[in-house]
Amino acid sequence: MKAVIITRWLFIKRSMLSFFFWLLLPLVGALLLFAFVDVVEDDSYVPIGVIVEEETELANDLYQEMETSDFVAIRETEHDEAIRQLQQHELDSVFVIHQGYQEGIQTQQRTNLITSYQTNRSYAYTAVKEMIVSHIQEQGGRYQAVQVINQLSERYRGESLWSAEDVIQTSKQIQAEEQLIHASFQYASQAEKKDDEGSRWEIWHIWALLAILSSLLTMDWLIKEKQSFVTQRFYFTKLSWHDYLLLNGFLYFVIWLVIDLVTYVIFSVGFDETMGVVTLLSYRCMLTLLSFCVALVWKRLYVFYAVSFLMACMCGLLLPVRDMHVINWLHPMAAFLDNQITIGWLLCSAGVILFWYGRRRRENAAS
Amino acid sequence: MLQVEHLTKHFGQTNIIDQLSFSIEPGEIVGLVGENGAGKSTLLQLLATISKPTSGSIALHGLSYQNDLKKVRKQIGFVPQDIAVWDTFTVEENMIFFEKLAWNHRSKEELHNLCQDMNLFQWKQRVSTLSGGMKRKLNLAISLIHQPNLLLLDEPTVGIDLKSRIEIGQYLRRRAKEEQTMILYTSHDLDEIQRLCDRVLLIGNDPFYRDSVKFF
Repeated sequence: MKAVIITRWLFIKRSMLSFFFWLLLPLVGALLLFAFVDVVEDDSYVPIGVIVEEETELANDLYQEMETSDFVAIRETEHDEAIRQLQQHELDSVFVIHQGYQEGIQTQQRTNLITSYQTNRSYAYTAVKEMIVSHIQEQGGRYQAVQVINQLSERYRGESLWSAEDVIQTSKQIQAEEQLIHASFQYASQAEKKDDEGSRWEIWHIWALLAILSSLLTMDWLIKEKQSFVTQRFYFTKLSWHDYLLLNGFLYFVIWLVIDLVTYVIFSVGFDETMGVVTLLSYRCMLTLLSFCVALVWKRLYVFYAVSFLMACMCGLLLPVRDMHVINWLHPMAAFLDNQITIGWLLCSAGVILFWYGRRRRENAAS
Repeated sequence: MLQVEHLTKHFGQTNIIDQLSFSIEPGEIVGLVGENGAGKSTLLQLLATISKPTSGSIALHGLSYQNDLKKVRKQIGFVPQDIAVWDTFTVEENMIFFEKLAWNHRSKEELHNLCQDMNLFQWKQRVSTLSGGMKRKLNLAISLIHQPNLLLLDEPTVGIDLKSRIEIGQYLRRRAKEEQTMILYTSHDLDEIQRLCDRVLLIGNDPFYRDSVKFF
């Protein structure tokens, strides 16, 4: 192995820049893209001004509901300042929760609870208004339910009296448990998928995709070296040609693995994005074997580069639809992104290499 | 001693080499001549263990090619017709690369001396900037790193200047004499064969070569 390290170093030191570029691409690329996505996401929030004139539970509840929205950034401000910002289009729209909001909800007097302001450029106004109206109806509906229950209790002389808090609490509990609007279906044998799985673009998604591209392109040494006349000399060296290639492949695997472990620490500590070490190891194993196989198959360098980019693009394009059973089964990144050990592609690639190695050994022994 | 007996090689229905027998003594340089397609390169590949004969036997210092392949290969130096070196490396890096993969250890100084013995002084120079003659010398030097007893050269001086040819020839004669290396040398240049070789081995049936090698 020492001979392989020294001989490989002779190649690497000649192309240090490109070597480290492709080696660090998944880590650095994922960090940069992730930071870029964060900035874009922050910029994509619509700024909304909110003036809360009373400090009551229901007013705060509405304010918090607006804050949890995925597409608006709430700025609590003073009335005059909010209007000024709206006129300068720094705010998309402004909503004033008036004094007496809670009393109005509780007594079912729902007029003039909120005043809103918009401009001719307020494209999120309608959506935010609908969200507020919906929430007010939800709050109002609960207090209406309190009234109806109390009326029914008085009419039919019920023994137990329900307080407003009990009814509202029960209503919220039922809403949380029953998922009245959202429902999902699945086959009996299929495990239920959690909402936060699969569709989010996390830093590991970006890393996994870039790792495919970099693994393939770093393996171009194999194409370059197998094209050389030098291969004839390996009949008379202590390492046969196929042993030389395999050991170099293993050396690249070790180098990548070191970088992967650094990546693992950075992502875990810096972004709290955990991933199983065995999952990572199996994915790296698969990537090394797969890229080795692809490099074995192709003879021309430019065809190999084209195939590498095509494979990486296909993997990226198919990611959003990997919930489809067949795609999920065939996608090389699927198991890794589900935090599972990559088995299928790993075994297939290992099988191809074993076949190649066995055949070459027989040929070499027979010659 | 290299002992070849009744060597035959077929490619499908085509008979390339038929019942060829010869031997080479230690320290002897044998020239291999014949027309294109006569089987010179095929014979060299058989002797270099790159290809397997259809029938017949080859033995090197009593080691059978069939049964002691690994031991035999350690004693063979093969200089291919193509320049089989890393173009992007320097002469030094090429020598170090193949020394690391060789069976026996050679110091950097020994490698340097090996190149200097062949008048290859561009130790730190990149191969891509060397002349054809220098590249050929490096091609030969790499094949000698593991100190082989049998040296097989497939047209090693093709396309290079006269000075380099003479230098390579002088080195081979010196090597055969001092190290008792057996050398089998193919070339289309009969003057070169006449100047360098102790004996000639003619294969094929071309009358031109039959007449031309009578001087031996």
